[in-house]
Amino acid sequence: MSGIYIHIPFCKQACYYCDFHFSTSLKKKGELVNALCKELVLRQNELIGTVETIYFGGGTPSLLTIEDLRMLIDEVYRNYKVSEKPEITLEANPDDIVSVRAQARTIFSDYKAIGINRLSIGIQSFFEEDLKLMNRAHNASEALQGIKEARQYFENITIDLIYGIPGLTNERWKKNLEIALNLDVPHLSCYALTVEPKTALKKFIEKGIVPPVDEEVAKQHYEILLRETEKAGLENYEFSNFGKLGFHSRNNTAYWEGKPYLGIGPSAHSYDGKSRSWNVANNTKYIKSISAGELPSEKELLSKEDKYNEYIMTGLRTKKGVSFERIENEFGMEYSAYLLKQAETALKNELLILEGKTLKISKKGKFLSDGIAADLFLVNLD
Amino acid sequence: MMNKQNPLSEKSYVFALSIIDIYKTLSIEKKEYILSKQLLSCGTSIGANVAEANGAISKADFSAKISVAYKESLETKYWLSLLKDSDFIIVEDFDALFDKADELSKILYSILKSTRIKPNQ
Repeated sequence: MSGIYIHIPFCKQACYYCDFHFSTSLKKKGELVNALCKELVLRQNELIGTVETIYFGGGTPSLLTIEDLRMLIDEVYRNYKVSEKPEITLEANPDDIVSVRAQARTIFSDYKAIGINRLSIGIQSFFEEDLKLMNRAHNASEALQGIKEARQYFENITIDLIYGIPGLTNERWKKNLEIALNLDVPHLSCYALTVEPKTALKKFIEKGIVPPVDEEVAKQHYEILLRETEKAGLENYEFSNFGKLGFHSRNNTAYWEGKPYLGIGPSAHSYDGKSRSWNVANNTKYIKSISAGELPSEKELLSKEDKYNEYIMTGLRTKKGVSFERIENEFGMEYSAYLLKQAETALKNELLILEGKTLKISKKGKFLSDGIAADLFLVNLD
Repeated sequence: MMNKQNPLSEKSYVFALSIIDIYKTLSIEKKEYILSKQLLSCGTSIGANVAEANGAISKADFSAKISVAYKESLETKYWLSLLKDSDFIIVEDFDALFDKADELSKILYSILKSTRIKPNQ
């Protein structure tokens, strides 16, 4: 199985914390959609197997018209073998889908008509002060309204929430979760606010306009998140992802399991099982290159060690953990023996647990998972 | 399969202690205060950033801290070379420290490689 990710690099305005590739000028939207279609054609032989998931991410894919989206989905079907029941996700911002501004009832049924069956709504917070601090385009009432309206048309909905926001108290974070869970949203993706280089947030913190992110508070928020989602019956199947059974993201799960995916659009990353490639993060250069029939991408071949390390890093963040069986089959017995030896200390300190032939992060080790994974890495020093 | 392995925290801590030792020698015995201070700063900063990385709550934050540690390891190698070429440290001390710094660089780079690529969404 494989997946297709389509990057829509446009936003109405820049969120202060975001370092993904996007442009706030929509002038080249038409040209870019055409280029995305062309890239889908150019790369039709790159994917082996059936396409199980199609994911529109961004940027803000809900800025595209139904016609734009239809054209892209049609292009996927024309050039790839798509499974009978693919998961087709669209990332949407509340302000684009609420009925007041966008005649949502038409939009939701149109989304469904073109095959979109999962909505990922970028809520981030239900509170005005948080949304303003992050410079989100929507307000608190649109956040609420967006979900309520989407729920009438879509069963499979996920929302993004951010914790660790400066000024976000434990009580307000708990309230955010309460609102989401009372709306019966079956899936949550919750991320700690990260201060990325070259973002407005980084500058504001440096200038003292915004207080720095307090990691201790973020950890408390994460603990609240674990408690509240567990009470609500959402499974924490990956560090930042929580879902009811039947609503886990097929797209993300495939990524964590190391399945191949094709990344279409400026800045999109691809993985074919042997190498990673990434497209240029510049809309003009992307359009120009694709129009000339050339792929604007760089490629990196992954060594056996790289692949082993990536599996350890992603595997330990998931509920499934790291399978010794898979290590033996894909990498060989010596890798499996190495892993067990490296894991000894963390197992003794109860940061890792061994369940049958699977290595998992314990509750105690959860916050340390990246560091623990790094200690299990294999590094060729020759 | 390979000639050495991890764990990073311990290695970077032990390395910081070796850097402190050479700093003491340089500043007390050789009265060299400028370059040695630079070496002390970056050589001990590797482990400090690794420790910070281990406390990071997000993968992006973890990766950012590892990236700083990696750059500090490269800088450490630069100051070590400069101190050797200006005859402040002997070849034997240089070799031992440079090899350790190089090992840390390779481990850090390897971790960075696995964490720096963000998923598409």
